[in-house]
Amino acid sequence: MTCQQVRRQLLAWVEGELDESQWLSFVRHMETCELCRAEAQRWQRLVATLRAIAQSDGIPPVPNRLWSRLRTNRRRLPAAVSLFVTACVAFFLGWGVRGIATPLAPPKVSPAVRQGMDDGRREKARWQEGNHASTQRLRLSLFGETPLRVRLVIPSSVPKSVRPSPFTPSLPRYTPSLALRGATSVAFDIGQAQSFVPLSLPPRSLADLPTGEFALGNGEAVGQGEDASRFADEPFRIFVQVADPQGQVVRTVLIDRSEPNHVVAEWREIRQMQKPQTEVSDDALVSVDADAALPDRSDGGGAK
Amino acid sequence: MDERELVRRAKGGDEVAFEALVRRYWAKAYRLAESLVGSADAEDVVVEAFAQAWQALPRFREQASFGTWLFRIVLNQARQWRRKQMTAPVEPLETESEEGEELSLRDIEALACERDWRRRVQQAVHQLPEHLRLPLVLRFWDELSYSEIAEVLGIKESTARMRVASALKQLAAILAKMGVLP
Repeated sequence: MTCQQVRRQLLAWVEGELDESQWLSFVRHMETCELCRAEAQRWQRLVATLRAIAQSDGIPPVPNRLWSRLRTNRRRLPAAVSLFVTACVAFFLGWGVRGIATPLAPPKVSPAVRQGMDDGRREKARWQEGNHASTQRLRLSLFGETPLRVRLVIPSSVPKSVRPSPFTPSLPRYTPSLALRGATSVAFDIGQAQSFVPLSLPPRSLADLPTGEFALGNGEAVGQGEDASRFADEPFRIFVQVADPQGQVVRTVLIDRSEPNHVVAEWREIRQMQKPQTEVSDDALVSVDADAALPDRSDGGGAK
Repeated sequence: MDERELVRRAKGGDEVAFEALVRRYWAKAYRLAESLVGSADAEDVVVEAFAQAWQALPRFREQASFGTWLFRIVLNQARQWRRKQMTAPVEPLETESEEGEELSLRDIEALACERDWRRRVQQAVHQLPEHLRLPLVLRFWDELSYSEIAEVLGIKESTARMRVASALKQLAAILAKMGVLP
């Protein structure tokens, strides 16, 4: 084997790809050629070092902001597909799609709600009215055995007294103990007395529902490690994930003032942030002027 | 769990599966990004790349491995990042090394330390031209096969081999110029 041939085989040699006869020829040349031997040793040392670098420290851990990005950037279907899927799901799961509004259409409070109603109907109406749409208006039927599960992620600096208070028929309302700071997750189940294990959430978020009230300690908020200051300028940011009984996500909703196009649901309590109250009454829920109390979306970017 | 199964679940929206993939590929993706944009921006690039991969995953046809698909995204992100930043990809090297001037006794002692040697090699890698640096990084830091490197970079396998060989040759020359490799 000549020096030129050896140099051409150096990579195969350091990669251990030479067959036996090639390797023997290579080694015999090394024994006699000091220059080639030195070059081969250099390559060998370099490759060993490169591989050692790959194994060594110096790589930062996966930052929390990536998890945060993934949570808030859950995959969304194209609008048309999303609408179609939503309509199909709504049909099969008992939802009624009420129509499509313009992205910035103000929420409306129905006369029926304003006039008041019995408790059961009011609860349903609150849900309906609490879920006004900017891209789609959904009427969620919470009665019967609707086997849907909803997950909320509330990274928010909303004060205790004005925190969002979603509710279900069996969970009339979350208590103040659920006032959560920072990025927080809440899971609850609609219509089925079974536990819901939220995806990607630590065990402390598990809740056997419906069991009435439950609390997550303020200091143990999910996503505690996230940079809550990212949300400092946002009065609220809620992620709602609706899954079917098999755990397949059938609907995702991001309520985010910076992304008005994704706002498809809001709870009336949220709108009272500008008027903090220690207790949110049912009357207040249905009589608040939604347009006036909604956060200003004009500074959050246009509809997509 | 098998990677293919993780990918299948992640494509279906399983965030836990995707998190597992992120953890599996984070270090490799970081090394690749670092080789293009430097350590100051590598994390940002990789975060963007994973966020983009998450969104694009339903369109991933699994003709290539998840790794090669992801590395292509990282490469694209890194190149976009560089265009935006308009900065040189290489990290500044210490001048005495670049100039190859005589090393003091103290430097020689420091170089005896394996850690310092590795740092020099990393610096030398960043001095390689990109068309040689990328195949080298993909091969020895990301542990891709030559056929996978060819797939990620859109070149022939034989070209990938030639470039890795050239990269090692130039790396040795750079380190020799630094005075840390005989």
